[in-house]
Amino acid sequence: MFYNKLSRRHFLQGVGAGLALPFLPSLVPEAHAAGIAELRYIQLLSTYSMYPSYFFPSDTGLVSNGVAMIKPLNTITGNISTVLGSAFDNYKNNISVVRGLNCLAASNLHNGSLPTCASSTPEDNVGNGRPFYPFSIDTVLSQSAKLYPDPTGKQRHVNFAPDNTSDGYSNYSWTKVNGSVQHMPKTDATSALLSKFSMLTTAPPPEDPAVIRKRDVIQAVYADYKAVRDSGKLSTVDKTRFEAYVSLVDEIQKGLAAAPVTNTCSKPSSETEVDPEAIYRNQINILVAAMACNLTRVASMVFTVPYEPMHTWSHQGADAAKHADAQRIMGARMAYLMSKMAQINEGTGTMLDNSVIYWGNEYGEVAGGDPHRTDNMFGVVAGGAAGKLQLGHYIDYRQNRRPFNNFLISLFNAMGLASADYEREGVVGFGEYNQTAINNYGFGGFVSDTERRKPLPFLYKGPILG
Amino acid sequence: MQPKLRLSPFQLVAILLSTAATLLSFQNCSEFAPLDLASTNGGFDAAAVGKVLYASNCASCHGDVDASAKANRTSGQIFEAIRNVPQMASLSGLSADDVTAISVALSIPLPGSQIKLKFQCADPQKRGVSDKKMKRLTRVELVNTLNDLLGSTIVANSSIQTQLSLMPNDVPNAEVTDVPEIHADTHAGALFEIAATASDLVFANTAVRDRIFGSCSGQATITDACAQTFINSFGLKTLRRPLATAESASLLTYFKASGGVEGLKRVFMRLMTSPSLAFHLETGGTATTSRVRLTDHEIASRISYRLLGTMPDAELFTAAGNGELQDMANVRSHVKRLLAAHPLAKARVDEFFNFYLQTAKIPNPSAAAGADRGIDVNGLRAELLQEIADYVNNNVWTKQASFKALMNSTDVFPRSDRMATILETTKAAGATASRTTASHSGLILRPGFLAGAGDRTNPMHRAVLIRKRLLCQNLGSPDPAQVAQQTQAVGDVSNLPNREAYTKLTQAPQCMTCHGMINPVGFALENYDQLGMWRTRETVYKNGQVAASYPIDSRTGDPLLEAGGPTALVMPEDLVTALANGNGARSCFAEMVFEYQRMRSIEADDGCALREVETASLESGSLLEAFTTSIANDDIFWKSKEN
Repeated sequence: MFYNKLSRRHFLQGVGAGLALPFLPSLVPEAHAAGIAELRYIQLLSTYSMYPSYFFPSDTGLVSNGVAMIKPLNTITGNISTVLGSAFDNYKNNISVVRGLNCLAASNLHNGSLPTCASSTPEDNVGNGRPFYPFSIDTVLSQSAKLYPDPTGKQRHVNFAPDNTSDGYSNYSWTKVNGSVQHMPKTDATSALLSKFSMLTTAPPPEDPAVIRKRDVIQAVYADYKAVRDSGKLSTVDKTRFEAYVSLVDEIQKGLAAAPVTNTCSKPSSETEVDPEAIYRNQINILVAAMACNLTRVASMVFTVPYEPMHTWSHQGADAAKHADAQRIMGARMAYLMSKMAQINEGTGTMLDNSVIYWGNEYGEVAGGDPHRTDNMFGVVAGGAAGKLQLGHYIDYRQNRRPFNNFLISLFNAMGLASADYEREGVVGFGEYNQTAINNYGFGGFVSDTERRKPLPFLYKGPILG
Repeated sequence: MQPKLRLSPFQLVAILLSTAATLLSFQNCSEFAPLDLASTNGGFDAAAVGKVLYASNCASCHGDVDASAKANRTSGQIFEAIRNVPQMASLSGLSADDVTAISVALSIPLPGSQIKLKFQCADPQKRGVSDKKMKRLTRVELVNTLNDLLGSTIVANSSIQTQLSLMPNDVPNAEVTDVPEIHADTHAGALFEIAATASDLVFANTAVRDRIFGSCSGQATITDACAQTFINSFGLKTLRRPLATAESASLLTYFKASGGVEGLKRVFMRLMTSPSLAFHLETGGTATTSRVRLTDHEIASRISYRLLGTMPDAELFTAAGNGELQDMANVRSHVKRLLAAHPLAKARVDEFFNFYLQTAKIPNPSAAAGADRGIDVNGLRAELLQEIADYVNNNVWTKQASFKALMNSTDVFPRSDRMATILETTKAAGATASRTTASHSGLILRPGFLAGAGDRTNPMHRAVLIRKRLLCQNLGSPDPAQVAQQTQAVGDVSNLPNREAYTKLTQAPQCMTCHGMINPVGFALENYDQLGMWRTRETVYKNGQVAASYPIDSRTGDPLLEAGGPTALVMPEDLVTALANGNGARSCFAEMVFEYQRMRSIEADDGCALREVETASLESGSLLEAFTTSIANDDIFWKSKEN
């Protein structure tokens, strides 16, 4: 027969004026094969406590695998939870929700930075103190030569709180400078964040509306094809043969979805900041553009909220739904960040695939009316650092409790850092190991050097770096 | 309808006896007497049952089945008569299986007849079960469908043409199975790009926009009602079935998400790339044990794509919407209507003959032979192809002739002096044929069919073409090692005449298994040179010059065409006569038509439909009737019930 000799690649060059082609690494500034130096770390931190019945998925269907209770998120019909709402409906395979980890901190006062350094503020209990363990995970990562083999021209650490509403608890990034414990510098305004990245000066051309239309339509078309495939009306043989065609539609979809939005050192388009969400979108776009341009690899963003009514909602269980609604908006911001990172194809996966996104909270779950608890901390992770983190699961360690410190070790290992890279001032492992807390939680079995350097089982599936 | 055609031999005898008694009391040929055989089991003989049914329902008017005035009527023709002949109206209760059986009985050749039908209708209740695989639209089907949906102005756009050129040609080279049924790397992407391009083009052309989206789409504000009307009307055409309420509502929601022109464009793109447009999706309606009855709209699509290679026209959509296409007489009526008037009908028949005769492989004839015969061969290939097309057109459409006439007609169409010289007649004018001699008669003596580009004619090539394409004989390929061995053993034969050379080259017993059939046919055509021009001497050319010349002896012994065929060929036209009067070429034609329309190889359970096409190809029928029957038969209603 007379087959046209054009290959699929030749054809795809014609689709979407080349946008459907897998993005070539050479087109990404300083792009490389996915190694440590290509990974990014972004932490998203929220203040006050959280109400577990609103935050976590239903326990129904949790099954023990010996180290944790687990449930695939894609088995959940509808939203993952109230907080992890519709924004995550398409990301059930792309995040994991971790629950039931305890901080071994001596104090539960604000500003203790529990989610980033598993520490507290023993010296000063009036809310202005310094953490006992003075290094947060993000600052340690930012100091690593593994992430910044050539730091020239880089912003090693980006710390920002869009729409800062003057909440004092909006900085979880600590380090020591000349022996002095200090917060990492933080920006609030969009202009201030943008000013850190002077290379992002050129306004990018607006995205072609025809491309946007194609990208949107092909998603619907792909769903139409899947519906036919799964309709039960095709014979087994036809279904198999049809699947080959469906995969072609999927390729088009992925090609268009991977169309680079901010893959150059161009300043991303901005929108008028008429509300807090516009501010978040603008600043997230800047961060993603900066990371695509390899101007930074470590960032911390704080979801700030007004002191009131959030503070009151945290204390009053009757306001749990309102608190959850505020956190649902925070979750949507994380989903927006994921969507932007997923649009950047780096040849070895998308920027999202090559990153770790971690959403943590100032405190653990509200229990007994106490919103300042250091136990039952959670973590929502995405990206997975090129496959090193187990995604797509609700991972509940409540029946196999472990120190929250090991969660942070998981993130270090995922980012390629071993103990020699992350340990500070002679402390084995990472973060505070307060003896009282160890005794209270019965965590004596987790304090040996070996245990302190272990990542969490099941969540972490990369090489254990020790 | 309930199956009525299961009976044991004992039951059959009982029925025959009771029917004989019934016949004695019958004086009115319009009385209806179906056989209720639904509960019977055992072997099935369609011809025997058909004879019984004929005796009780038809014989009083049309005479005994063995001498019926309605011999060789196909089931479609019988249904048509029941619908249109008032005296037969009472027979409308006969089931499709009943009518198939009567048709089989009417196609039984009389004892002593030369006519033999190859295909047997073993079980009417298995009709259609071989249609079991879903296929995507071929490129030709897609182009035709786009023309119908969007108009040729849009489809002619260079970007759309570029995308279409990226798709596989989907043209069967030698076998219909050459065309991929589903997979093609570039198909999905090209279709998506066509939809994207067209979504802009249709809005840039007011007339096209209004035709597709309605004039309301030109308003500043596009209402939901406007979008809904478009969704339902365009959805019907693209999905080739009415949209379900939920589908329609879902697309309206999809429109609303963007709204306005953008919303319409997005819905348009989605419909234009939908699985129902890209594929021949048949989910069917009611099912039996082994078959699924298709819906009216699925039947409409089968009629249209098999006959025209495009989507149903307005009349077919209306008929499907009215539930009229479960009726064979209605199906047949639409097939005949479309064959008579639709502009794509002729193109589709032409495509078939190109496939059947492998016209793509016809070369421009040898320049040396042309110079030697005083014919300028520059551009001659196009005229050879046109002569074949004119010849086919005359037999199929103008004369509505039978297959036999196609095989032996002396009406030819030389459009130039050089073609008239080749055909030894005068130029044809318009649709009026020129008459030539028997030595240029029939399909196989068309100059294009005989043409060659080499310095010598190739009798093997000609013979294999006839064996494979006109007699459906699978000869296989020779073993290259044996060919090399034989060639070496024989030595140089280049200085011998064709007949002597090929006889030597193929004389080994292992060669003669096939060449015993090939050589006589090839040698019988040696009186034609590379231009298809009559010759009495074989001329060999080298470097454009005559290198040798030999006398020709085209007489052969038994060409082994078929049982009862000629035992010798004295003149080339004897081969023409043998193919025209024999059974093999006719049954092969039926097979080729069947395979081309369904784009699949024949299978064991296709016997009923093949027998009907074969019957329609008899001298009592016509080529048009064969094409009609190949679509308008009971198979059109069914597909296999595959899990």
